[in-house]
Amino acid sequence: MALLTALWAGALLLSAGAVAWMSALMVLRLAHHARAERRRADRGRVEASLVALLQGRCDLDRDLRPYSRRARLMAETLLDFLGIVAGHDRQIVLGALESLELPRTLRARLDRGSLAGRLVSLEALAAFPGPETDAALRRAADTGPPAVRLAALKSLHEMSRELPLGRVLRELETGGLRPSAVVGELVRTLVADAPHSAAGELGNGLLPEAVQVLIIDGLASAGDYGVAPTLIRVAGASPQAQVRAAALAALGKLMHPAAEPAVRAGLADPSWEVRAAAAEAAGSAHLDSLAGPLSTALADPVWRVRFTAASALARLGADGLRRLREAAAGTVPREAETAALVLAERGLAT
Amino acid sequence: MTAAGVALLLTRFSEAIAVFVIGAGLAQNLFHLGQLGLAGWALRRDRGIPAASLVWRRYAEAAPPISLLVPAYNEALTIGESVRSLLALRYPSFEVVVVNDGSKDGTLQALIQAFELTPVRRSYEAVAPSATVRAIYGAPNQPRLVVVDKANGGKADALNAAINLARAPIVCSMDADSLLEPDALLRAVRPFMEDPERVVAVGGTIRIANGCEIRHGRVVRVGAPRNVLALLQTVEYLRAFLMARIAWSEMGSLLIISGAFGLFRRDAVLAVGGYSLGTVGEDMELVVKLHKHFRRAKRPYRVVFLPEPVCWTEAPESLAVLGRQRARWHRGALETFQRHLDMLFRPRYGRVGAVGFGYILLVDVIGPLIEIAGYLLIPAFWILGVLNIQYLYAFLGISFGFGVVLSVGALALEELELKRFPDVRSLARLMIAAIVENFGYRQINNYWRLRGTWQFLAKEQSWGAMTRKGFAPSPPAGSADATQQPIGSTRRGSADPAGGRNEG
Repeated sequence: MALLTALWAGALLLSAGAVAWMSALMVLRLAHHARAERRRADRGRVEASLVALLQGRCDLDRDLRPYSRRARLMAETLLDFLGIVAGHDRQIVLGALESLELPRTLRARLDRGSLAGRLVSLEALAAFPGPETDAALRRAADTGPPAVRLAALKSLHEMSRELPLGRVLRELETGGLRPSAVVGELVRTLVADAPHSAAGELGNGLLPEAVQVLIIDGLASAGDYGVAPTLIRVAGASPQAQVRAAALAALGKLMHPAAEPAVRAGLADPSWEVRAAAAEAAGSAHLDSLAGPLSTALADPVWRVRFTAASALARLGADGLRRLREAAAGTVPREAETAALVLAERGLAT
Repeated sequence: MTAAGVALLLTRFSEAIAVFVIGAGLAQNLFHLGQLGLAGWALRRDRGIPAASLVWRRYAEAAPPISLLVPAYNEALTIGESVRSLLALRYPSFEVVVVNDGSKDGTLQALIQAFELTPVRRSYEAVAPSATVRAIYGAPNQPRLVVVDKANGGKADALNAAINLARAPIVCSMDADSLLEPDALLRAVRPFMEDPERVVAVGGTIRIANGCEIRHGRVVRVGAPRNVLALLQTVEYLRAFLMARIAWSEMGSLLIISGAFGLFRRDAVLAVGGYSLGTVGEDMELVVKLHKHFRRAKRPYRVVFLPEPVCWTEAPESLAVLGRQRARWHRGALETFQRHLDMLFRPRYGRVGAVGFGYILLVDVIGPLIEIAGYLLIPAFWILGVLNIQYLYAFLGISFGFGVVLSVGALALEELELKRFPDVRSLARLMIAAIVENFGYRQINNYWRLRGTWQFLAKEQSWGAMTRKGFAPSPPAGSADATQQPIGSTRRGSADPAGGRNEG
């Protein structure tokens, strides 16, 4: 009988507990609703005050000071607002907020509260460069979890503070940062700032594959011919196919004629990704001398290589187009089909 | 054997049955409670969902291109608005590949007229199997739009055609009549940016749009459905997505990404041959194939579920339609289980084979059989006098207690971390639904699962008819009921919360 009673008691407790939990949440919702409404209204008032500030109608103490200790509210509003103002207006806004000691509030928020609040505070701090902000960001970049480290490093870079590429690469190597597309963007900009130092990092060949690819992407965006020899060497010597492919793609973007031998070798690489990258590079760099190997690539067993080779031929001008038309009219079905489709895609007659 | 001996044997047999049923039920409920806790922990860890403007600021520059794959079958009335809504999504670089899957109602003509389409040629490799592509169309004023006209072959077939033509590294499968939130793509693509080496698939949340205010293909105000059946499904979806999917994702054993909204790395999908044809559970089957492929290759990978990117779908409001849908989902799960039976408990498949497939075995395969046994044995034991009715009621009571905790718990997670429902009134209605669903609705669901099991055993392949009301507040005359689906239809009705799996 005791078991029976326990079972019923358990059933009732479970149900009652669940209902009580949800009921409590509904009561809390009433409070939350009021709080959310207040927050929405506060944000509206801050935005209106910032607009008024630009129109010279804002009383800082009356309109903005009451909110200046609310880091997340101010940071979110500021980031949105800075997206629509620039130049002198931006300076007015930032000057006023500095006078309200918002940077200090944001810095204090880096050590407490939710991760979301810390991240947005880090991002907003980039608008207030200065030694104290610099120190706070560097501390966050040294000690925070990966998301915080990344946000801090991005803010430091946004503030035009010296941020050596090597520092970010070490973070990537030690796991302080994970190779991601977002980190890639940061690496790309850092590499663009100092392409030769980046090429040096690449040259040691010890970096993980993903990091090498990130650096090579950055070198491609930098547009500095001085890094072409490094890229040519990597395209030919790296044991990793992804790295060779990235180096060839970067050479294509650089459009350097010296890349021709590397691209020619890439077209015969055992990895299809590398062959496709080489074909793409040949087209991007307008390497007319590779029209022959590209025509051969129209018979490649991998569709992606055939397609990029045909697309590259279409970009090589008269000779490339002639070869494409010949292939389209030819008797090898695979070549003819690819060539005809690429011509048709570009609205060119076969 | 004496009568006393027979009675003793019967008593021992009934005790053994009781211990097994109680043990299995308790294990299942405790497992679900664990999932609820795990989901709560994960939601808490990732709390503080940033506003759309912040997401854009942080991720837009690094966001990879996406191809949206939109299979359409007999969608002439709504396809124009659906595609316009997709083209208006906020994402830096995407294309929309609409596949007219041999529609008979002028869907293609509607698209041609709406977007001034003209035939184009596009080079592609037909890696994934699909029916003959008849033509490809492009829109001079909408360079992001590609329309494929092909022979009817079903949703998987249409998705394969779209994947073949897609050129972005990430593809997003969806239903033509589902509504994506404007920033859903940017939120959903985040794992691909944060962990590009390992993430191969990302699933977003499907929510029920019945009861919401919809304008120009956008949900402008969230509300709880007025229709009881849709309300019960809302709770069911919360449990399936906010509890089960999050927990499975955290456990590294997520076996289903809803066909209504899932992002995949295109090269990974092509590596497993695209969607499998000849199954009604193609979305689950694809994810299982991905697990299998990467586990066999011993390559690190992740299949991720995110609670915040949201896709809205219309839930069936009649028992007949819902029953057909649920039976089909269950059949799909069983088909997937059968096709990949070799993964069950095999160490090389790790948690996916042990926990994920073990769960399907317990809940989807054995579950209905236990249920049938229960229907037969309980009256039999009662007639024979070996059933203690008081204990039966007590165990039913505790079973309902667990059910209430799980359903209300999922709603509580939603309220604690996401707060999508606008007011206390909606929450109160949902809480009542979360309690009520344990008394009748879940049992009807079990009946539908039994029907799905029967269809699976009978090797039935049809999708059954799906009737929709549509999102438009006042559709043109004659269009209040949407299309009837033939065999091999592209539309699935609402996105499956459990995807054929009975989660939570």
